[in-house]
Amino acid sequence: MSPDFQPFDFKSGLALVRPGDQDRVRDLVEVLYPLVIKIVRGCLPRWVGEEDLAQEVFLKMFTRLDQYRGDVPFPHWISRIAVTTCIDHLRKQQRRPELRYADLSEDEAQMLDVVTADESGEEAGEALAARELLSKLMDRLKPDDRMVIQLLDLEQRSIGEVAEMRGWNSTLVKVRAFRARRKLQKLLEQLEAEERV
Amino acid sequence: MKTSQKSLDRLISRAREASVETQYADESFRAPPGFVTRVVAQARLPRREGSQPWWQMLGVAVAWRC
Repeated sequence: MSPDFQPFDFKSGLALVRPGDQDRVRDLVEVLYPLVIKIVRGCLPRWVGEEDLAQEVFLKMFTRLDQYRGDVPFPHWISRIAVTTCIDHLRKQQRRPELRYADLSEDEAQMLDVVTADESGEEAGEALAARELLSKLMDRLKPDDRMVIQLLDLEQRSIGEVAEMRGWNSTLVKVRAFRARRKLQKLLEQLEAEERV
Repeated sequence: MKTSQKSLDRLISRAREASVETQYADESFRAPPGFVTRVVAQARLPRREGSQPWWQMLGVAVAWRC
């Protein structure tokens, strides 16, 4: 979680944002947008409505600005807001239909073969097919579990970072990750079993 | 290690390649046209009204809108 934020001095910038300096508000949104949109994209099952969700994150940031005490870096603080906003959004959806082998695209089904048989295909678009297949599996997880897999396994953030972003202790992050991976393994097994039928 | 665990590890490893490509793309990604204006316009709405800080007024405005 360390993008280059050098152009924006958060300490002095926030001091100007708080009284309502619109130019600094603009700078703040611009500088934080890549961080926020990355979290939002990682969280959403499909990249639908990402700008609306990003806007919601920024509106929350402005409404809660007086709660920021400076005890953590500002990007960490807004990261937590972004993660929480995304999880709330996923909870509202609460739609996790069962995933069947027949729901997979041709590329995703082929990817299932590759990963379960340990084949070493290097075809173009393979990573994308893997991402799509994993995304469908992750759609079946609870929002918090999905987020843990996204942050830990796909973005390769540390347990400490995830704990900070979610407001958990590191033990809870490990437990969530273990359970989420086990759930994903079961889903893979189910798909593989269906494929054999 | 269980077979399904190895399969999952392989799937995550391959999926990560796509994610990394996305992350690199995001490095130079800027807010789309109109986005910042929209957010700033929202933030500007409740400004300069009474003695209440504008960001608290924004909270009231957002709550009212919802």
